[in-house]
Amino acid sequence: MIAAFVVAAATGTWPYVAAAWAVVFGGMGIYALVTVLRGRRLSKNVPPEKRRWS
Amino acid sequence: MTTETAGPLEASDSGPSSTGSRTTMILGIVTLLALGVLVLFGLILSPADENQGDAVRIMYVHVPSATLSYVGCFMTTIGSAVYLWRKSQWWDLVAYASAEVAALFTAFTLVTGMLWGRPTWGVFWVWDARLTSEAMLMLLLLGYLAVRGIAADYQVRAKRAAIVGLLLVPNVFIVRQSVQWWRTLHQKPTLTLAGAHIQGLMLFSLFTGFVAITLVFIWMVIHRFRVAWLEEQVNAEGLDVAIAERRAEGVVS
Repeated sequence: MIAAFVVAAATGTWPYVAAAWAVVFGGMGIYALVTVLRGRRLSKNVPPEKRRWS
Repeated sequence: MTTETAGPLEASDSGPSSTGSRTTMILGIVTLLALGVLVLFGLILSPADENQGDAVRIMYVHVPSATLSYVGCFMTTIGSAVYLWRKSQWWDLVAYASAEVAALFTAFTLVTGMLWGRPTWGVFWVWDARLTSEAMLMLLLLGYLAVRGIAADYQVRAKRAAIVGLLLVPNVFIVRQSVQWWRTLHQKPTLTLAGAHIQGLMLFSLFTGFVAITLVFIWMVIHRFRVAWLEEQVNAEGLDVAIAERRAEGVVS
């Protein structure tokens, strides 16, 4: 069954499906990571009273 | 844009050390669960479409990405209008954060649309009214972000960007109506107020896509807003230090 899935994935529309989902999920993951890291770096330079989130 | 003009603060401060909070942490966990459900339904449980085959699975991320990019554009235009009216920094930063996230989702829309077009239409791209207007929207969003990046005083930068931001919603309206106004290769809307053209598990998978990607969008806008807020605080502090140094030089000389 797994072999059938792999064969199906290598042909037809599955490579396009996989690429589309990889772009969206990968893009969201990278953007989220970059945003969080930028926030951490910037937080070191801002006084605590100016970064009170709730 | 300079973001590291001030030196690091002492480690003894008690504020949060990132843009995260209890609310965004809970939101993040719920978002990850929703994305897991989306993968389950979108890639495994949803059947292939009669006409499109498995390419319909691309729709579960393409359609929500497109819708959320429009939502981001609406938020940018509203934030820009309120900034121009009341000079509120909060609204300006809402516009900025929304524009950047909207640009990301517009890029997803274009790329996933191309990946859907190749197996369905036989080509990645055609200069069709919907595709062309969506590409114009992407250029406008990049223009907004470029204008924000031009070195200038905060008020000047925000005002210039807000004027560009006002153009986004009219452009979204053109994108949305393009399939009605012109003869295009792109299909008519799948979901309308009158009902849906898909049923069963495919409709549920699309619904799951909307929920999961909306949660991602909210999480991203909140964090991006906080990063923009921190950037402005750092810039303002750096400017204060520079003015103080210049004044001190004036006193000495």
